[in-house]
Amino acid sequence: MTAKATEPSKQATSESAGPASAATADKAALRQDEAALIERIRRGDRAAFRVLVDRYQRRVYSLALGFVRDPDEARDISQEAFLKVYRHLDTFHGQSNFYTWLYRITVNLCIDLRRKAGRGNQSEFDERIAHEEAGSPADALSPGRLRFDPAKALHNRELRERLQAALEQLSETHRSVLLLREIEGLSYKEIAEVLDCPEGTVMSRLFHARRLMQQMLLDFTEPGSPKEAAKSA
Amino acid sequence: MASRDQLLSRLHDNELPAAEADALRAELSPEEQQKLVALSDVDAALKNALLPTETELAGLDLWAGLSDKLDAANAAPAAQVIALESARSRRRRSIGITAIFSTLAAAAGLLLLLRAKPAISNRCDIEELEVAGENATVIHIPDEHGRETALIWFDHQETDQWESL
Repeated sequence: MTAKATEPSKQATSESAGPASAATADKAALRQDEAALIERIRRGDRAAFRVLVDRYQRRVYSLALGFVRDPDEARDISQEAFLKVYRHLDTFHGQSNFYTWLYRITVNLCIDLRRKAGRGNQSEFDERIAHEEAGSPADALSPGRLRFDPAKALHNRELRERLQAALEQLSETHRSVLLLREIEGLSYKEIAEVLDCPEGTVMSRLFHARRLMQQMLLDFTEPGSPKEAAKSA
Repeated sequence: MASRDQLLSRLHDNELPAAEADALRAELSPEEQQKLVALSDVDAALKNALLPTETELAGLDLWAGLSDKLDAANAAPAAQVIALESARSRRRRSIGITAIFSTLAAAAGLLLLLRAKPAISNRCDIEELEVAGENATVIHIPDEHGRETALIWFDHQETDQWESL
């Protein structure tokens, strides 16, 4: 194996953003490296495929786990996603980033599994938010802060369960956008590439998904915040 | 048009052009600043609740299972490649088969219609007799050689029986 099995850098945040040109150069180098790996895999080089698996397995698994919340199912989906990549590599023409293609396969497998298991989305919610007008009271973000330290969400069972229940309330499309953003740290453009939709749609879905999450977490927001005051009134 | 809160969401995601982001930051109201903090709270809570821990990820090795599956796929016997017929030849063959079966069906129908019917004799003599207090029916059946067969039907003791003479 000659290629380095490193994970691609995550989307730059306001706290950790480096120079934009450096990030662009990193992505270009990654894309070039992956194009070479893919070429080797097409010629039957299994070691090259292993490099890709090692590079992306944690992120694919994390994404799948975010969807299905079951470690065994997440592992199966991750394996299936890589198998699909291997079998259908000929259909990947390199017009998009390899990882967005891989994530798309993963997301589709997760959605398929959830639908088969009867854990499908609530289209009613999609319909409802589609008809809400921008600027209406229901379209506002909450300024209420969480009463708990979000960093301790993992150890706060009640909050964790509420977060998962709130995620379950989201449609598949809204959940996909939120997980790709929060777990994978993808940009709007990358999410649009994964989900094959316009960036504006990504922005809108992400906004509505977060707003619903805030509504579902009202009980966990600080008393006295404007949202709480409105609720008690 | 995006609402003010949607702009805040884009600012939070670092998705606004630098100049626009700076201009927006400069004019944020205290409530909007709090909304940005609230967005960060939910994001952080989601990340912490959903992302697997390092301990969970430490044992993750998909390659072993994948390698086995790839080996199994390679070991499977190669599928026999059969040349696909062209749609035209398939259609031609289907028309030929239909024509053959239609012809056979028509011939069978004709055969049934023209089949020789069995000759039915209506020259039987039937007479009723009373023998020893019991009824008997005598049926004379001539054959094609001029000979005759007689059947006598006795009704006695509530039992029917045939006797050939």
